[in-house]
Amino acid sequence: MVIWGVFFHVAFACIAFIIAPKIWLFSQKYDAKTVPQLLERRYDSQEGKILLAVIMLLMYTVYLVAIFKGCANLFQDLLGVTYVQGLLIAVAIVALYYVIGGLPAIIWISFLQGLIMLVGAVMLYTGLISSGGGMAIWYRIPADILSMEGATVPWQKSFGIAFSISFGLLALPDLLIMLFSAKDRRVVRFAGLYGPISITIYALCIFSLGVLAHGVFSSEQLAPFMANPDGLIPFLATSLLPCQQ
Amino acid sequence: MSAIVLVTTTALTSDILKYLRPATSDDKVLVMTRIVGVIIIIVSAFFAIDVPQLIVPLVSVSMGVIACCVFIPLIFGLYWDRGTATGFVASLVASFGSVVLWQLFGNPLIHLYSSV
Repeated sequence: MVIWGVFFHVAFACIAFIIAPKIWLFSQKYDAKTVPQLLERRYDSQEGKILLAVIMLLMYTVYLVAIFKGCANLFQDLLGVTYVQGLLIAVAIVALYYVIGGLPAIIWISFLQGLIMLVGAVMLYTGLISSGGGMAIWYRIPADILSMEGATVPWQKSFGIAFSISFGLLALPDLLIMLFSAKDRRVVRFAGLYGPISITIYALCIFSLGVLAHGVFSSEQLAPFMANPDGLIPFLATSLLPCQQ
Repeated sequence: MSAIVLVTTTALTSDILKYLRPATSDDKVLVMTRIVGVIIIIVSAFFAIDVPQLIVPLVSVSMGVIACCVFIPLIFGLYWDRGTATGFVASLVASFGSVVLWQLFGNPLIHLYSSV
């Protein structure tokens, strides 16, 4: 399942590499700053633009609530603050660089965030492998976890989630606006080359964490994360990273 | 995360507001984008204080809806010259409807195959 998840992620990143220059040219041709604007000008449809904008407004607001919940959980576990304090820290950071920096700051922060996520994923992956005794970790993982059928979640569902997350690489407006703002075609090509490489490493590490955790921690320790998977990463970080030991 | 705030805000200011009030200047839209962005951050954080259980399935639906609604018109717009305004609107309605119906019926094919 992990291999399929990584395969979808890398495959869609490679497709993105192929079509990104064309999307960039498309945005330049129609002088578009937003995705609804681009599609409005391409299809000459004001109604389509408004419909898409309303859908984005509603759906992204829902998504933001979930992201703030994830951030608050992360700060709560890593910094030892309360949930609401973690939420306030997240709000303050995001609001500050959103208001002061504008799009350039957003792009730089996204780049740094990607870099931190990549380093963090590699550290947690190697931390789990090392705590589990190297390659011997695979023998400690229960057979039902390693089975394609999965222990609790049907494999079709994991397969679908991996596919849909990867699919988002091609079509999510928050990624597309960064492409629209690229200075020239060279920048798009550069990002298109290094993107799939970093995505391959990141996906391999992050998609394996849930499975590998069963080779280091007991099922009782991992039980809370079956209901709330958001808590697994802070738990692994506090349990495995050197500064916490 | 702030990229998500930005696209949410520009959907409201650059796309919807500019459509309702075409005379609004670009400078005013820019200022409003920043103010509305902060309001959206505060509103989202407020709802995150006590997250309803419904939010978990809604997140996967929300990403699915947005990706489907954008993917079809974007790819057809790039590689097919005969796409029309009617086709664009129809693809949005179909994408939205198919993702929402799929979720409402509880991923029927997944349960069908997993029980075999």
